[in-house]
Amino acid sequence: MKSKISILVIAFIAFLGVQSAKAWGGFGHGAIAYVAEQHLTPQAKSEVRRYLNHTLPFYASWMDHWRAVPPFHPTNSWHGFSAAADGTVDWSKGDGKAMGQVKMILETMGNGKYKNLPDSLVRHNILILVHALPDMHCPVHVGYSKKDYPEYRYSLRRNGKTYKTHGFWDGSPGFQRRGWTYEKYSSIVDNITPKQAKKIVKKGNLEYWGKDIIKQGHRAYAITPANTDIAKLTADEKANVLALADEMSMKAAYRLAYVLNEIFK
Amino acid sequence: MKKIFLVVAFALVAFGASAWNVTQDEGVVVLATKNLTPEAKSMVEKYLGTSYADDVQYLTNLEKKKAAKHSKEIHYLHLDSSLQPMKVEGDDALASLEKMMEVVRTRNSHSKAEVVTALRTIINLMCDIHNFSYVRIEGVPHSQQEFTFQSYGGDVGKRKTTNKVWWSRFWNAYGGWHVGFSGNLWAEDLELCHGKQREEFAAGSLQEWVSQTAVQASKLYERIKPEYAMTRRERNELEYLNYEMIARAGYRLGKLFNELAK
Repeated sequence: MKSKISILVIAFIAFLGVQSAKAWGGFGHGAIAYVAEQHLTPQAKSEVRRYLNHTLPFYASWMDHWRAVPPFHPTNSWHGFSAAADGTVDWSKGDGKAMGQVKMILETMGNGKYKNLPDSLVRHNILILVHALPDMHCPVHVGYSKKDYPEYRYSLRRNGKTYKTHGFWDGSPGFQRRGWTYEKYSSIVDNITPKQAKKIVKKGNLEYWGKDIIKQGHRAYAITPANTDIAKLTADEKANVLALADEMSMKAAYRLAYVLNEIFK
Repeated sequence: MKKIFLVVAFALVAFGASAWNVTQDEGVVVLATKNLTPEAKSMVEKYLGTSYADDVQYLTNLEKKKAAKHSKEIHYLHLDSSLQPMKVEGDDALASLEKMMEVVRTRNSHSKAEVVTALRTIINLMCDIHNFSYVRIEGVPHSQQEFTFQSYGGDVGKRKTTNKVWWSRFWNAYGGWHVGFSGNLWAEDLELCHGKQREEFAAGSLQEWVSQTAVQASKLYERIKPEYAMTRRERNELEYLNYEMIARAGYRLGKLFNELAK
């Protein structure tokens, strides 16, 4: 009986995973990839385009569309990462998650090692990076444990009706920006100075990135506490939503560019 | 002749210019522009100005005003059961394209406004004849066709969420993956992916291009019948097919303008 219950619990958790992890949304992913492409070195940009046969934004949200299709089903859990109780990355769950994928790809492709891999594998790894790395920057893609943060399991409201917290934050870079192009987003939001960029990237320190994302992720729950009606946000609340979404999008973009530049230098 | 212009102009006013969404239509135009001969570029700029891509948006804006009567057939390709063009009451896309091409060819005997309308119509309809939702095959239930689409989990089979999707809406809504792409970005991406096929895509005549769209649409209609359950994999693959059709439209529009400018 116990084992049956365990199977049911695992199945339910898996179901929730499929339900919830829907990424930054099409606009957010594309905008991040577009900004990242603006910060690639000529060498990296040329190599990435050669492998993909497309611009970086073209594939930005591919993993969301293929996650349920064999043989891409294992990518279903590569959209976020788990946080340990002390606010660091829980690497014990890292292998199958986004952060673990980024680490593994950097180790196998960095410092020119990509040249030793078959083209198809290099391409595959770029595709994983272009989606998974930005996705793990989405505040609601941090897996805070239920034990430590039981209060984070809640819904929002939209005109009084239940609305998923996850869904709202997934779409936050495009919040109230209907009709924007990536060029417009980049020209308005990408105001990062070289000094800020250096701090964001921190020489590719994944532990630092993880701690930063985990720390910033809490802000989402503070900005939109349980039962917040997203259709009735005040101007300040809207500004706070966009400030967090844009901050995390820029971090994702600069870090993605850094990783690709490191690989193809 | 004036009558034709009025019909065409009214049709555009009523239906607008978007075969796909506006930025994809713009992508078609930008891609075409990148492949114009100096002679064609000069002709297009003379009549449409340098912000050539804006014409697609302009027509869409006209549509929203719902200001005039229209010929409802202008965006459609009407084909008989053997996929040959059919004569229909009111010109369909192919007939309209042929008429507008003739106007551009004989542009020196027309007013500037007439040539501008003709060029805009050509842009519009070159998009339409590459969009499967505008293909009407005799005997095939198209306008009301709907199929079910299995959402996440569709191929895996664990969770079969099904949504009703209208055939026409499916093709026109293409680009949801790429919301935020501008016309310029579309063109840049299309060139990267299909630049090497430029000549292959642009080869042939207008009638042959229509025939290719017809054959492809016919195969799709054969497979995707009402109540068909489309898997996630199929849906994704059709997105790429549609993407290729946008590239074909762009390279072919460029070729058409190059020939008309001679």
